[in-house]
Amino acid sequence: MDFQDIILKLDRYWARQGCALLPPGAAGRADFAGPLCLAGAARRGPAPDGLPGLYRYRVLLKPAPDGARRAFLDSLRAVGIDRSEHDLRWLPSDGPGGTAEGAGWNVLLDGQPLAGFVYKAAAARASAEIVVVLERLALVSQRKRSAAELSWAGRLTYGELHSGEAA
Amino acid sequence: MTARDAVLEILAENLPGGAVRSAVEQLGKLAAQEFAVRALPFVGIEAYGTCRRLALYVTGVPTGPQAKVLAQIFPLLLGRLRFERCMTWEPSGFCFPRPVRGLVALHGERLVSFSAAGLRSCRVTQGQEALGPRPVKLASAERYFKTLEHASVLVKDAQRLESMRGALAAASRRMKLAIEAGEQELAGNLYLAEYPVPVVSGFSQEFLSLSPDLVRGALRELLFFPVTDQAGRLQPYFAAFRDGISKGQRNVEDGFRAALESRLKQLISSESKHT
Repeated sequence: MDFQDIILKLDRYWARQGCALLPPGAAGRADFAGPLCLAGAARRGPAPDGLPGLYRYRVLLKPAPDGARRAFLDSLRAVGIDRSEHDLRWLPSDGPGGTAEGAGWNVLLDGQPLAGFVYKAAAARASAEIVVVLERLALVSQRKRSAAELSWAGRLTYGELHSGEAA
Repeated sequence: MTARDAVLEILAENLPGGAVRSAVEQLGKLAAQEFAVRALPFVGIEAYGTCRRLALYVTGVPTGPQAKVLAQIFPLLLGRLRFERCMTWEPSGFCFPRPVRGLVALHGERLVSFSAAGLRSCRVTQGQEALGPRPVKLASAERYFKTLEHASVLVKDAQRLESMRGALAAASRRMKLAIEAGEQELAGNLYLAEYPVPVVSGFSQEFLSLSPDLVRGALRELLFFPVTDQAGRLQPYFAAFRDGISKGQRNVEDGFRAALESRLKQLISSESKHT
């Protein structure tokens, strides 16, 4: 699946879950009282694992429904990743600064960082924030080893689109 | 008067290993206290935990009106569990490290009915997550472990550990090489997988130029197991565990390898900066 198809599929999937889609790069109003469900591709800093990791897909569910985790797993299926053919490792992480304000996981797909999934404490009910590394999804989906080889749209590659940028 | 076994299962989203270990210990102790306080006889109390569930199993609980106190004991046990870090997830205010998604409570075939953590107890749980969301119905408390094993969940910690040791020993025989099954890595894997499936993969020979301690350190960080020859020399292979089934094994082998090599590359570049 092309990189841009992955974004389109995720947009469609989360829109079906009732999320408002935000344009790339928009942070979304995290302080909004909710109920709220925001989703969209965003450009962020580099990933720690050597991937260019420029693109994240961020979903904010406020309050988090009981099925938030299931919805995340289903979103992987929506972009063509069959959960039963991969290993998902949920490494517990306790939110920013290790405080009790948040609880979640660093999710590894076949041992490599795929997403951060954090529940944030709130007065009534916790909210959930999911941030997925789009490059990882594309690498697995296209069975490629480096981000530069990824097909962005048809013959246009990720490498061509980002030539001159530091990997 | 006959006696039947009783089971209480708390199904949750993936729990930190430390929280599971502590909860298992507390569950056993608290249950023994509560059964004594309420003068409910039993033969034995066992407590187990995986990354997704805590299970209390009590053997030889008499049937009849006496057993009705189980419906009081079980929610009380939940309320008395203490965690270093926990959050409330629903209006009842029950504090748990991650959201609770199900409660199973059975005495023989009978449902032990109560409410806690915003949920009602039932006889349906979930099996291995990798197989998708499939409800698993439990016919009786006595069938609990077998039914879950059929759903690719090894509830008993010792059984999971034994299965991991066995799998590493078998892989070692197949490769005719030794696998360093460190206790720390085994303990780390114990609460990451409900049904540990072994994965054996390799890494590029070039990384053997790094000091063996550095390579071992990188492997341990990822909870992988180093492979050595009979003389104890590190080989460009490693063993690891994934959760679930052995479908798509190649994806996992390649992914684990890439994760390790990316870490080893960082080590090489930091080493070359220092020299």
